[in-house]
Amino acid sequence: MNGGKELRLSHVLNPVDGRGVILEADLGSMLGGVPGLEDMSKVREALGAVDAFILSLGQIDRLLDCLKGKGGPSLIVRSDWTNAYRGGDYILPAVDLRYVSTVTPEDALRHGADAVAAYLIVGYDRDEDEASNMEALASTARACEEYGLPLLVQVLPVGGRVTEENYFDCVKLGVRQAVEVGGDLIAAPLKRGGGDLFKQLVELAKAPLMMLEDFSEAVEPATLARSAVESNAAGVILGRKTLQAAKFAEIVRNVRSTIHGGLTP
Amino acid sequence: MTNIGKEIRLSRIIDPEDGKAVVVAADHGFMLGPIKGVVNLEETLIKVVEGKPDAVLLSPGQARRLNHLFRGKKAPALLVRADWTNAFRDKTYTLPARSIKRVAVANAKGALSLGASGIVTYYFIGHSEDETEAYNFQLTSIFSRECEKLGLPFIVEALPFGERVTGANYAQLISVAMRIAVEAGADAIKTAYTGDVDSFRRAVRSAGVPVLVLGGAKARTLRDALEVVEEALTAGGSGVVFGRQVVQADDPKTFVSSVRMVVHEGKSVRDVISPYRGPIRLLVRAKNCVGCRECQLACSFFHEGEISLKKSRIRVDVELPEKFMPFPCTLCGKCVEACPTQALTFNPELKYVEFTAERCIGPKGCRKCVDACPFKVVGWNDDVKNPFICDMCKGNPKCVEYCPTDALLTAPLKGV
Amino acid sequence: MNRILTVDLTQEKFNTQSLDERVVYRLLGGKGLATWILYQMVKPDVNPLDPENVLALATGPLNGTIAPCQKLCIASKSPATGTINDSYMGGWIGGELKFSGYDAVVITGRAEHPSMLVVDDGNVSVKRCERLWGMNTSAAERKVIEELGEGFKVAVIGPAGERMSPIAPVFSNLRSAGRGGLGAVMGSKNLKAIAVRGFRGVKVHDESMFERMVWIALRTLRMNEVTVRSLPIYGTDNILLTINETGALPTRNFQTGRFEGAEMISGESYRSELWLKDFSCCLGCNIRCSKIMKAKRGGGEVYVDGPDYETIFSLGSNCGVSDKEAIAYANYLCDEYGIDTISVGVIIAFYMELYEKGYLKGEDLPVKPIFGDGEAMVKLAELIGKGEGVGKTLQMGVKRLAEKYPGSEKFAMHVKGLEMPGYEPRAAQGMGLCYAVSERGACHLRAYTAGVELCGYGGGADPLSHDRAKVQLAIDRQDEKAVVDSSVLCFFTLFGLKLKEVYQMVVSATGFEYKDPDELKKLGARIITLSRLFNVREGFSRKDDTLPYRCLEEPLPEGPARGQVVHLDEMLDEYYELRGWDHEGIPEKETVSKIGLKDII
Repeated sequence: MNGGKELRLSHVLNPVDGRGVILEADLGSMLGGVPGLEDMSKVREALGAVDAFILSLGQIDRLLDCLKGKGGPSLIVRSDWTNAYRGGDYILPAVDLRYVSTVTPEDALRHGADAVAAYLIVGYDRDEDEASNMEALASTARACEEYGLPLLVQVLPVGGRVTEENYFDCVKLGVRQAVEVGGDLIAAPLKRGGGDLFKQLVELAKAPLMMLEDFSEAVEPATLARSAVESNAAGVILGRKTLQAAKFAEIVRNVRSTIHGGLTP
Repeated sequence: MTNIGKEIRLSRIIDPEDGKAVVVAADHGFMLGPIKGVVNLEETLIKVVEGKPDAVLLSPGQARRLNHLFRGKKAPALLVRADWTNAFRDKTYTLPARSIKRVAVANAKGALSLGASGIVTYYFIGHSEDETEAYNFQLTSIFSRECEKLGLPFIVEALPFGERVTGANYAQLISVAMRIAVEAGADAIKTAYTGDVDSFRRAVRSAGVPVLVLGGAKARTLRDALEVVEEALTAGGSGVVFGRQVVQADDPKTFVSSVRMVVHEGKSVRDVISPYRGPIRLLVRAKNCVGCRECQLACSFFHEGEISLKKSRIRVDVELPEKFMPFPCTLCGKCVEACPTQALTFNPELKYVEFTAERCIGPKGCRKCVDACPFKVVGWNDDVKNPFICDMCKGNPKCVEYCPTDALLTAPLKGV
Repeated sequence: MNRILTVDLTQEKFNTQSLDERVVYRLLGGKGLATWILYQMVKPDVNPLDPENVLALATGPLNGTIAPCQKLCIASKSPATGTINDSYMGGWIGGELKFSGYDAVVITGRAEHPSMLVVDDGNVSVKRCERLWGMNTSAAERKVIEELGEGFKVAVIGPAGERMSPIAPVFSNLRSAGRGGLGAVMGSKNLKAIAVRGFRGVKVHDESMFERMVWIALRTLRMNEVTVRSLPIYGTDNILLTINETGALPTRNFQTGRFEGAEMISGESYRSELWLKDFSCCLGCNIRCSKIMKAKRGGGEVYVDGPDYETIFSLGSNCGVSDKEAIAYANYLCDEYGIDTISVGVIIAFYMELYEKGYLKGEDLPVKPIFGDGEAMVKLAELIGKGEGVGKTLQMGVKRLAEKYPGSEKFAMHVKGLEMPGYEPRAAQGMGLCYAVSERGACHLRAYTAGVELCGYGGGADPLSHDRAKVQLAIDRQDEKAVVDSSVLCFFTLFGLKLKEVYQMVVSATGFEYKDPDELKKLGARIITLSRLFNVREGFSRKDDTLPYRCLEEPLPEGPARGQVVHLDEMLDEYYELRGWDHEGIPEKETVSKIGLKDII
């Protein structure tokens, strides 16, 4: 890792405890204005509790005032798009799993990025899709190195070839690939009851590994946070599930105090 | 259409709450070699960071080595010096420069890879060769374009420097240099103080972007350093960049904290430096006295509205070759004792000797106070037939303020 | 700012006059005022040692105030050069003159007996003082104060001035108006001393603004490297090693610009070995460049204010001498007898080269004047100070001395009869121009480009360039200095202040509505042209704006400027053009009116 990456990563993961709480608020680019993200004002309620937001380029302007100054949330810019979130109950469910790279780290920088977020989807049906994802990821990773931008790779085991039996191995595969391609901060989902396994993942990864909320099966944010601490993870990335909750602000604050204790940003 | 990257990053340098910044420059090793304070840069910077500056400026090499000092959200922002010059190597340094040169040493991308929130480059104006200035401008434009592309704040240190700079055109050239740099694309300016509020205000207005004033060469006193800051802020400046004064200070942390008090907390210089408001006495360090008599001149000016060595309330003895000695009032009280009409009393609150003219019988020929003073400090005002009595300037003595060598100092008056 | 005391020593008559406001507005005071007075009152046929010559002591609007580093301008027609000569003296007498209610004193005539002029708070008298005649400077000054009382500030001449030596300065409080023989002018008037005491206060036009502007000026002096670290600690000799490194330290009568003994006479070495105390010998000075040193000699010890850089060059490197105590002692002797150390050192060095080149064969020599012999140097300084033996001829200066030895004028280092100061012009072209065009002969304190060229101040400049930019630099420095000389502040303030700070103090002190600092710079240029007109009237022109053969034709043998000569002609052409003077260096009629002189002279 280079100086720029380390410096910027320290704005996401608190250097005192090595952990962070990230709010993924870019889902609008993949799903439209889902509950919680209608006008982005709810996102502001997380100020003071989260260490970073993940935002798509177009929304940065609207939250610009939150991002200015020291002590506020850092900006992680979404660099790609997928229809992986579009499940069966969605208005336009995905037929074919698709992934594309949309924003270069240079674009992200121009918009004030402290870090870049990208997906690594595991279990594509077609080999060429996996290759394509890897190629895009690599290109992003190389550019991130040049600019000193930390790269957050979110491992999503959502391809057609992922089963109950091979689930953990798929996540393991994805995490390892993410590190190898040049990710600085990795995120993977937690299966319910899979705390010990996650602990193994953390040891294997040797890079900071966070827990991803939205593909974590039926795990409450509070539980997620506790498991993250117990398995030595680098924190949690909260997503749609938490955003949709009624007591959003309270939940986020509780997650923070579990992850960081009394530490101020 | 704003450049979002620049806006966000600039806000890490200039606090969006009050629009002000306290920046410490520690890139001297690059221009001057290992001067005092930067020999062990890490040690110095650790202390500097404790004072909580908004940003720290380093050369690319040091930005890489000392990157770990910038971790965490509350750490200072990192600024990278992207060019090099020999302009500051005057005769006191090894291999003094004979003609000013300036070259680029990093680009925006390189600076970003080091973690920078902004880059700083020089813009000099005043060379005898127009070619040099043209090259200067071109270099500045190139940096500007790169920074625009990458959303990196571009801070230009705009200074008059060169054979065509004179005493008469200096202040105006500051204004010109700043404006040209802004036109070339600077997001903020770092420049020298013009020396007074009005001319600096004009320059700041013409710039139209945040202007940070240079702290200047090492001030002898913290008061001077802070006064320059205060004046620059009054004139519309957005903050200050201190270099050598901080890195060479005995206590960099306190220095930076003091500057923060003036810049971000709006405290007055006097409150930051000498908050004590009780009774005082005057101390003499005779070995520091150099016989300039400024104490006498200042004393008469401020009390009488006119300057005269014979109308002052402090005496200076100069006996060449070695004996120089100021004689201020020692509060011995002999004049108070001697006065037959209680025209001289001790001020109840601040304890200095207070003179009440209505009770004085000097016009009737009395001079008991003059004779009583064991140090012959009580002078005689022949115009009105009254004594010259030191009143410690009611707590803020001018003789101390104007003494250039700390031969006169104040101390709290204890046990009264 | 307009009370002139005129003193006619012949008739013992005193008068107070005021000048036309326009004159004061256009020329400010100090140098400007003195130059105007001399231009009005001293005709070309007047010999400098005649009673008709005028001695002017002029203060400026910043004297007697809280402004930093105050000086006094003393001016006359010079017995050494025949040009106008303005010199700047520290001490406290300038301020005291203001306190006594006068802005200037203009002295004409000749007293019948050795006398002193006493100005006691508006009461003027001339007192006989035969008992002081023959006394050394410090003793004379002490005696006058003893007799007249504390509170008097006194200026005196030494025995050399009494005998009208053209290298005799005027002294006060260990400082001097050093060059051009002003002491001789006083001696020619039978004037041993001028004593001043005043009880009045000086008022300024806008008190609160003046306070603010002086504070800013003091602050700039406190925040500049040179006036905080160099001058206060090492005095003027702080530059010696740099000047040596840049190959500009005149050595052995300007034969070369590098001295092998430089380390032994540097500011650092003087500070560590002979230094006793720092001294702010000038009123209100916060720079305190003066250093009191202690020198051991023949079983005893003397104290001397100095030696300063110029003295160390002239009695030291220029004579090949690296014995720091010998230099300090010789300085002491010069001060006591009342002779200018720059001229003395350059004269001795010339004498040493005459000896070296065999010009003195067959002459009866009191000492062998060999380069590097400190004892010989001291002995010669003493003889010159006393005007005894060979000292009698040596004291007349190198120009006159060279007339005795045909061929030696090539290395007689003077311009117009004033000996050359401590910067080798071949190593700093701007200084070549400075010496050549200075109104009083070879003087460095005019268009002082050395700081920029050699010490790199203000961004530096290529010392070897001799183009228009270099000439403009010289002109800018000359104009700025003229303003400072008219205010009257010390040259060293310009290291910290810019003209803007001087402007702010002057405007708030006087209430004069100068538009901006540039208007003051034009005032400086005006004064330079006026002093040029004086010299032109005396018969000086381009032919006299020259340098010794050594500088123009002999390439410098070593150092960064090796092989260089001074390219004077081209610089002179540019200089005259930029000044609005013709090819012969005579101010054009148009210039004289455009520059605001025509209607006031």
